[in-house]
Amino acid sequence: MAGSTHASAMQRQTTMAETSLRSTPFVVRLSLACLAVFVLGGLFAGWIAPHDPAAQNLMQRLAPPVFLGGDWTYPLGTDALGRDIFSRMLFATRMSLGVALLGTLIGAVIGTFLGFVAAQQNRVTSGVIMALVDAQAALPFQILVLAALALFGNALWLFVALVGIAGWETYARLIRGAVLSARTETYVQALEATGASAWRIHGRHILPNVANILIIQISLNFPSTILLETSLSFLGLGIQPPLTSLGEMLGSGRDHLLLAWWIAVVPGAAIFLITLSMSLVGDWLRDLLDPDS
Amino acid sequence: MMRLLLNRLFRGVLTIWGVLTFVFIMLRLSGDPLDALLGDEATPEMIAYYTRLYGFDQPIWQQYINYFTGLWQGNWGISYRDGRDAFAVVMERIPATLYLGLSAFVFSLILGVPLGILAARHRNSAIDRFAMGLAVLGFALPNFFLGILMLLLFTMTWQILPSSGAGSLAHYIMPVITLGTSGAGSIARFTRSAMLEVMNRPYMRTARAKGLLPGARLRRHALPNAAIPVVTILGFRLGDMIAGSVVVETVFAWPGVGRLLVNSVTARELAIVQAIVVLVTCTMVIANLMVDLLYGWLDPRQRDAKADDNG
Repeated sequence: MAGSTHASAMQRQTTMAETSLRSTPFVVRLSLACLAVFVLGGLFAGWIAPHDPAAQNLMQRLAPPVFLGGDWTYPLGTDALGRDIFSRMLFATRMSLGVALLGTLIGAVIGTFLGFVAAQQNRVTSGVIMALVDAQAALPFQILVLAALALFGNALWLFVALVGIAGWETYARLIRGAVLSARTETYVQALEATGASAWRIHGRHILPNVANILIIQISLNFPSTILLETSLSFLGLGIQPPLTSLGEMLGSGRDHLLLAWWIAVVPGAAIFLITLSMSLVGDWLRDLLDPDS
Repeated sequence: MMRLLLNRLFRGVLTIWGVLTFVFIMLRLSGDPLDALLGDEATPEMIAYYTRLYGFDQPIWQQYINYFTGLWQGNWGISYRDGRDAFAVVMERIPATLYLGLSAFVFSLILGVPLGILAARHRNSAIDRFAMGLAVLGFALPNFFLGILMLLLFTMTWQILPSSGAGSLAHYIMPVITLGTSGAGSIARFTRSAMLEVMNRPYMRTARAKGLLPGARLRRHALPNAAIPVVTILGFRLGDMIAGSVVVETVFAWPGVGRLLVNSVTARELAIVQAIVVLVTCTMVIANLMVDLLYGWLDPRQRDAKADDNG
């Protein structure tokens, strides 16, 4: 990872970007298209949705989707309360992607900041931060999230914050290592010699140089964040009705598997497609931006 | 080696202490801990009695010390639903989770390690792509969705496997596959990269130059060296396994700790949640220590470092 100088890293990046435009693998393009569909669907849920996601139609309970002989009024059928699954899917996708995005960003910001702090000379702070990193890496964080939800009860902001802190330790560890190795390079030593402030060196010069690592980790962390949110919501401990998320839809569809399996399978398939596409894109990004790893 | 181990042991104790302190602070931040431990229907006499018993009228540092001595003496609070000792309630659920977790762990090893070795040996071939494709699928497939799909097919459509409970061997099939699949995927990927790393080493070239057959090179040189990094991630896998068992036990109504945790969080049975958190922490710390030991035993350089320390 270390050893590439400032200039050659830049050069490699541009050539990589040029080649990537022409030779993006088919699977990755498919994944990007799939992600785009979900992102657009979630973003424009309000315009696309044919029905109010909360509107119940008890005469039309458990109606089958189009591919099972249903009609186009309810493209993906209805749930046990006669609510349109297609409309609910759009809003659930918005919630799941939103929580995952926000959570990933919270983790990335906290982790990057603490990673930078831990790379400084102060041995006490860096020792404390690295001990926390070790502790969090050693514990299944989902259990601590459950404990916190039991203690404080469920609130959306708390849930998002918890999902956010789940991933910070990996960022902190990676960024600390990258900053430490960047500091041995000549451009940083030159900047130090010219008397640039620590803020300037780290913010303006080191941060852009470790951005690749950050981008890769964000793309690899995103699927885990989605899975954390959906599995907690699936258990009924995350997103609560009347709000809905893909995990919440799957969890409530579980009770009607025998009569209407699509209620659970449609959101489940969506989660699967999103995490799969994101993992494939993340792997591709890693190979592209950091061929040495 | 000894110093490293002592250092790890110290870190482990520090982690347990940190989590206990976290729980202590959280319990007091979340409102009156008596509400949490006794429930809403506690009479004023009960509250007065337990306030004195637990020492909530004392200064906070005294409470902090009492909290630890209490835990040490086995005073873990009571389940307010049936008034039973929280620790006992958790303990009786452990065997079911242990059997399920161990089976799933073995399942993910049996599936993941050979898949990773196969992919590495046939690097960049169709076999490699197929194996790694499976691994990515296994990792991206959420365990709750996999569980539901299997319930749908094997229980509801074909009616060949039981949907819930832990009575017989047949009850194990779906939960074990559900819990082990994502682990198998990440173990396969990690084994592959560890193997590839090892295969490029000079000693592999030497082994080839001296005329060892591919099978012998794999067994004698590649596998032992690739095993070292793989063992280190097994400790982390255990954490994912514990987290996964929460979901899988809920899907298949498995009578284990995971389902108990979900039910206790829903009912806000804080004494039980606390007992489970502490138990999980201790398990993880011990598991990581064992991984360190195993690591030292597998890696001759670590093993011999002990002799150097003394000499």
